[in-house]
Order: sequence, then structure tokens, then C-alpha cells
Amino acid sequence: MRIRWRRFWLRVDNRGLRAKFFTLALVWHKIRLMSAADFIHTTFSKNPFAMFAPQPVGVHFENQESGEKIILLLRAHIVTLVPSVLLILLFIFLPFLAPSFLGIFRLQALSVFDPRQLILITIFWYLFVFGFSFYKFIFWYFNVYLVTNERVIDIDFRGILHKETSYAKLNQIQDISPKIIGFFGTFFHYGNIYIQTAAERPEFEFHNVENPNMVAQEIHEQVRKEEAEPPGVIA
Amino acid sequence: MPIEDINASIFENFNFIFFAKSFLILFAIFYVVFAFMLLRQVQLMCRTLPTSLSPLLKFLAIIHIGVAVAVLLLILGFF
Repeated sequence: MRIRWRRFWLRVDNRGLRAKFFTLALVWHKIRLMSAADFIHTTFSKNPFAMFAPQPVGVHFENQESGEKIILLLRAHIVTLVPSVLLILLFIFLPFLAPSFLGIFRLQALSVFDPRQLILITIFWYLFVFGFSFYKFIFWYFNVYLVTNERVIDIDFRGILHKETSYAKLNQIQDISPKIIGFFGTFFHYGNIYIQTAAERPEFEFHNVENPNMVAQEIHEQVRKEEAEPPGVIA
Repeated sequence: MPIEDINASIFENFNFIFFAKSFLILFAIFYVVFAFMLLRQVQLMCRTLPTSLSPLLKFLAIIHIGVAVAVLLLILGFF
């Protein structure tokens, strides 16, 4: 194993590439040594698809107060999209599988259509597949949970034309309990966070977010900071 | 008339292509409505949470409507 790794390393003659390897390893090591709070406060996420984005760059939200900063932007873990991706893959390959599937039952349903009609049906099918994928993607992309220096926000889009946004001020938060349940949750390290509040909505639930313990710790820290501030100050 | 003959005449007169075309047109009309709703939803979402990806998503939603309408017209004209 060691010899194989050495051969690989010798093959990487390019000094620039070696330097990049070292930098990446150093960054990774630094991240491992950092505390959760340090990691969140020193990272500015530029990835628009991130499911765990500390201080996202170029993102703001409706009703954002001046001086209010987004500390964390969270989406459902990417693993929760696997069933949808599998379904989409099945839809993509279905036109290729359909003739042989119908052949098993000795059905010649496709032979009644001429090639032009079959092409139109196929185009329409792939349009439907695109629409379905796009729908799934935007619901994943826009269902976000935000932690700011003033409040926690849950932006929910449930089904088409159903939007729900809930806010809870940090000083109204009473209890935070992160939970990692199940095989996939434990394996990929994602779970739910239950936040008890004194706001209009008594409980906030962040579903399937990555690293729930780190998120809970960060919310605790923001609550502590908020309690130390004089009332009405946004900082 | 024996019942077997009635059955046979129904299946002879039944035009499968006509049935398929009607179904496809109906489905395509519903799909165009869905595409418009999706654009409205994307606009609403982008207003709630503007990100760097918002213009691209809006553009895709508009293209999606265009293609849906084009496919509906193609089905009406060429199927």
C-alpha cells in the first residue's frame, strides 16, 4: 500500500499540484482542529448549492432587518434527495425499457403509432421528466432554515403555491434539542433539530439538516450573545 | 344481434390513435398550466430568498413554459 502511494506521489511531478495537495491537507487539518463556532464564524460559503452554508455570500431574505446577518443557511441533507434521483433515473430510462416490458406480456401497443407520433410522445415524456426534476430541485433548494444574529427562520414551501415562513427571535428560544435518528442519519451525520420557543409558533423543526449538534451549539451561542445585548440593538 | 358481434363492432370502431391524441392534448394542456404555476412559484421563492442562482432558475422556468407550449402545438398539429 505504502509503495503504491509512493509511486503515485512520484508521478505527481508538478510542483504546483503538490503544493495544492499540501494546502488542501493543511486546510482539512485546520478544520478538524477548529471548534464548531470558529468554523462557522470564519467561513464564508460561496457555494449556491450548499446544504450547510456558514455566512452565505450573496444571499439575503425578505424582511431582513438592516444589520441582521445570516450566520447559517441550512437545507435538507443531499442524501434525502436519493429517492427522487432514483425515480428520475427510472423515468429517464423508461422509454428504453417500455418496449421490452410490453413484449413480456405480448402487447404490441407501440406498433399502432407511426415513428413521428412516437417521437412526439418521447419528447413530451422527457419534458415531463424535466418538469418533475425541476420541481423537486426548487423545493429542495428553497426549503431553507436560517439562523441570523437576531432570529431563526423557517422558510417552507409545501406543494405548489403554498408558502409558509415562521420567525422566532433568539431571545424567545427556550430549548434546543438536536436528534440524529436511523441508519442513514447516523451514517451521513444528519438529523432534526427541535427548537422550543415562546413565539407564536411554539416549536420549530429543522428537518434532516447536516451536523445538527454543531447547529444547536451555534444557536445556543447566538442566544447567549443576544441575551448579553441591550434590548432593541441589532449586532 | 349476438353479444359477441356487438363486442367486435365496438373494438373495430374504437380508434386507439384518436383516444391517445385526446389524452395527450389534455395532458399537455394541464402541463402548460403546471409550467405557468411553476414559474409563479419560482418567482415567489426568488423574492423570498434571492440567491446567485435565482436569475438562472427564473430563466429555466420561462424556457420550460416555452417548450411546454411548443410541444402542445406540435401535438395539436402533427400527432
